[in-house]
Amino acid sequence: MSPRPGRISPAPESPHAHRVSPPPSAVRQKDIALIDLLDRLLDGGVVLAGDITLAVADVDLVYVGLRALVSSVAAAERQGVTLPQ
Amino acid sequence: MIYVYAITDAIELHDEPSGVHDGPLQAIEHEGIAGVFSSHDQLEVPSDPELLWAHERVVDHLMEHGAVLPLRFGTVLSDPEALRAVLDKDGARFALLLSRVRGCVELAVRVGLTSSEPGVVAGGADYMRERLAEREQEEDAADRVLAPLRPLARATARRPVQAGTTTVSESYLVPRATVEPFAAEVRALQAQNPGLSISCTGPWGPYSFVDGGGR
Repeated sequence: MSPRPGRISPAPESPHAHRVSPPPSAVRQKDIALIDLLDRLLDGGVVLAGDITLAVADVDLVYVGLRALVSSVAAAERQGVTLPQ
Repeated sequence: MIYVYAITDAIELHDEPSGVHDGPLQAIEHEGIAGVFSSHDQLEVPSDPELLWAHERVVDHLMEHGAVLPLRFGTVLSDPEALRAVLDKDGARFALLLSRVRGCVELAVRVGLTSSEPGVVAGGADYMRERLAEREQEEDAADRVLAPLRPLARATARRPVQAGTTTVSESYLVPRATVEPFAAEVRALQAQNPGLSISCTGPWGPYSFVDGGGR
């Protein structure tokens, strides 16, 4: 990586404006394990029929947040760019 | 009320971990199949990573002692009698599913898609068409990369690519003895495809292989 001459303000209208460094590998592995966990526990597994309550709160929020995270990790690896929030 | 983790043919608990909110595990058995649960006066299960890992920890422990059908996170019943009724009603289905996953674990593989930088931003419709064609090519490429893994698995489950994500994700039901050879194959695929980022996590409970065909 070449050093930059200073802090560059990203153009606010560009969706690819936020440049990030790829996170350390250990962190990335942990994030991937977490999203693999979410994929399985929230979307897989036996669903019991009948007299039950699925008492899971705020799933969508967490899930979407983590998907964005994994997307941004993959994107960061390729091009140093995160997806728009 | 009770939080239910799994259905298993391992009837007795040994040195078991605690469950969600440190709830001690209990089991109720019906004709050779047990439901494993913890009792709680009140129960909230937000999808907090700590609670998710607590659920998986229980499933993981049970898998050391027998075949396991993990339940979806957040399954709550009114009391153990309600669980007994489920075991009574669905026992045959559970027995069939247990026989399918016996001796196996689930491994998760992700392939980071290689979409190119949208350097030249053409008109909107053209751009979207190009991106769609690109995405299809990428998925085909991921398919070819993953092909050598499938013969090592007893079953394979492909997750649809989610909007806004850049990875293809596939689950494999793998006999325990094949986990190491499988991981070695993933490492070999990564070495052969340095332009892709390939991850493999597990062993997980067989979450992707318990729907009995049709969910």
